[in-house]
Amino acid sequence: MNARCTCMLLTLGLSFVLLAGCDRDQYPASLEYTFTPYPRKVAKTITIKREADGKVVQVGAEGPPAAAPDVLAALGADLQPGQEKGVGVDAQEILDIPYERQAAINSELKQFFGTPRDPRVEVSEEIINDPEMRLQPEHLQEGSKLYRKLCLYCHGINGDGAGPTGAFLNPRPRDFRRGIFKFRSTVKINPDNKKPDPPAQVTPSFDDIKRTLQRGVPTASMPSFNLLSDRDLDALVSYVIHLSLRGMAEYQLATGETDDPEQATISAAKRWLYGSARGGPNRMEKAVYVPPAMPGGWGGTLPTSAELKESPGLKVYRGDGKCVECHWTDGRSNPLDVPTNLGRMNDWGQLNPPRNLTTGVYRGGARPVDVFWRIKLGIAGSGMPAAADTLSDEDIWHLVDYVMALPTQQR
Amino acid sequence: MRYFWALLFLTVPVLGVGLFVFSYLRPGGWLPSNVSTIGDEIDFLFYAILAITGVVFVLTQLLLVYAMVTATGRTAGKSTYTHGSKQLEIAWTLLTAAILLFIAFYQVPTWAKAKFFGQFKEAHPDIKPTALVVASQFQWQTRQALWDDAANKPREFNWKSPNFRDSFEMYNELHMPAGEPVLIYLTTRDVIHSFWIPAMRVKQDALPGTVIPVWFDASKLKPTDFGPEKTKEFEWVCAELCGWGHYRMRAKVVVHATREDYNAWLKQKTAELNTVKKKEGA
Repeated sequence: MNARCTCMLLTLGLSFVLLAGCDRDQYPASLEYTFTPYPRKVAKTITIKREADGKVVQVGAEGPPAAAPDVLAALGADLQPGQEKGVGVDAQEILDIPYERQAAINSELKQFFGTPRDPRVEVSEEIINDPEMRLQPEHLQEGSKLYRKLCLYCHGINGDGAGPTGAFLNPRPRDFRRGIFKFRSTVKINPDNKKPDPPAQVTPSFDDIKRTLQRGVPTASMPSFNLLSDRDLDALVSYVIHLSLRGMAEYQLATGETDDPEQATISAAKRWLYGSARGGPNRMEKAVYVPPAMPGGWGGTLPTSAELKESPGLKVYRGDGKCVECHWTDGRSNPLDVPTNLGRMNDWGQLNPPRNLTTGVYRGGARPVDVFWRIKLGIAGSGMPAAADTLSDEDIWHLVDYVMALPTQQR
Repeated sequence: MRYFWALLFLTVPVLGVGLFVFSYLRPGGWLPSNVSTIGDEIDFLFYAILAITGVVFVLTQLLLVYAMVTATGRTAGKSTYTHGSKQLEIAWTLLTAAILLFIAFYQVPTWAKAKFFGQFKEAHPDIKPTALVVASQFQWQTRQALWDDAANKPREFNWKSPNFRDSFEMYNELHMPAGEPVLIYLTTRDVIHSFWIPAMRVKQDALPGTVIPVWFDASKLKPTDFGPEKTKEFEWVCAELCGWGHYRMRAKVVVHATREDYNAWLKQKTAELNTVKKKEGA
């Protein structure tokens, strides 16, 4: 065999061997959490006008208009040529800070939150060991390994939803960093009997996040991790909470709400666990809302179209529930019927119009109680308001009955 | 060296057969043990085809190596001009065609038993679907019937238009009773996926725009096969490339020991779904 053949065979052989790759099961020790920009929604009021040629434009726009052309056209649908009016639109802005400040925040928070390989949360033992948090360092390390294997490429190393795969997905992966989670069963309670803050920004319970992991989010790219063991799921939930706490602390420092990283950390942890920065074990402001039993239980038969027309749920839907304003009478939330739906954004500045209720897909869970929670507690980060103050539990159950029958109706 | 190329080509049948033998001997390296009734026929067909193609494969490869060995080092001489042998060519074409036709017709009854819905319906006119299985990128969603406390049996589950009153959703999990045929309806929300339970020898593509009946059973299980909760889990995977997440589209089939166990689970699951705990472990 000549030298050429030997070289060729050796190269082939070596390539096969190297294909196997090197595998580590943890983040590298030198990797640290870093600040990445925060996308968020800002509500703007602009003046729009219909020009002589029929196009609706923004008046006095410096640079690109605040909303897309189709949004402007929809909002200005009722304008005559030459007429103008003021409207509110959603826009996305990116919170970014100078590089020196970023580096300062990164190193400040490193003492309190550690590194991806070695995560921790420097708060009181009481908070760390609370079953709603489980932030023990060994537990977080297990979570970190699983997160790196299963979640990192969509949700990013620091939980910003901007991992390498994230840009290709619609809806985008969740940005954990502001402590806003859509699917919760928690409500703000009011230990002092004063009017509580709006429940929309309450953090979820441990179980809420776990349920999302188990179920996935149907029609979004979040898969179901039902096959992971309980222990693995618990570790992941704790790690997500850790990322969320770090983000909440970082956000306070980045927006200038506080300059003290220790205070930012403690207030983030207290807000998560107790429902507010002032809260404590004896002054809980957050609780899982357990609804009264569904009238008639979860059974019976689906109402016919005729029965549905007479149902109490329909009366709530078209009356006190104010559902028609966004979801329209047929539940389709079609922007042709509700022009303001077109440009609606969520708190992260991503397009997030009111849901079409006739698809039969419930991203937060398809049990009646899940839909009950969405209505009663609202969907944090989105425009779905909480009905806790406006509707009684009985009315909400009627509404659930009605809404969940919509997908099977003939049109 | 003299016989380098001949030896190189000899590695093909040697490695080929060697890999099969190695897989067979290695635990978990061969077919998962079959638990369904149709599996016997399917496995027999698999082995029959493996035997036929294996023998032909080894023979042709050895012939090739033999030709290379005898040709090696032969000094150049006067070539013969030949058209080959017409009889030989006809013979090996007809023989191959005959083998293929045989295989094609031999497997028809098994295919009919596994895929002809009419035949299945005739054999089981009263069977009710256990689940509606919806494939999506990248997980499986199953809808199974709720338990009807009043009538003490599972609800009538309308697979064409399931709703929250007759069924509930689960993800990456399918429950079924052992010892009887199970019917599911399979569809997909987006692209082509494929419903595959290796141990039950059932595979069916889920095609967009269709709802396809699929039937299978787990009849070869003994009471000792079941774990402490009287269940046994089987792997269920997607068998059609559906995107970047195809590799992770794994799910589990949970087989309950008897129909009564399955009903008990349905009853318990319905009750569980109806209750809300304030805190973990409450």
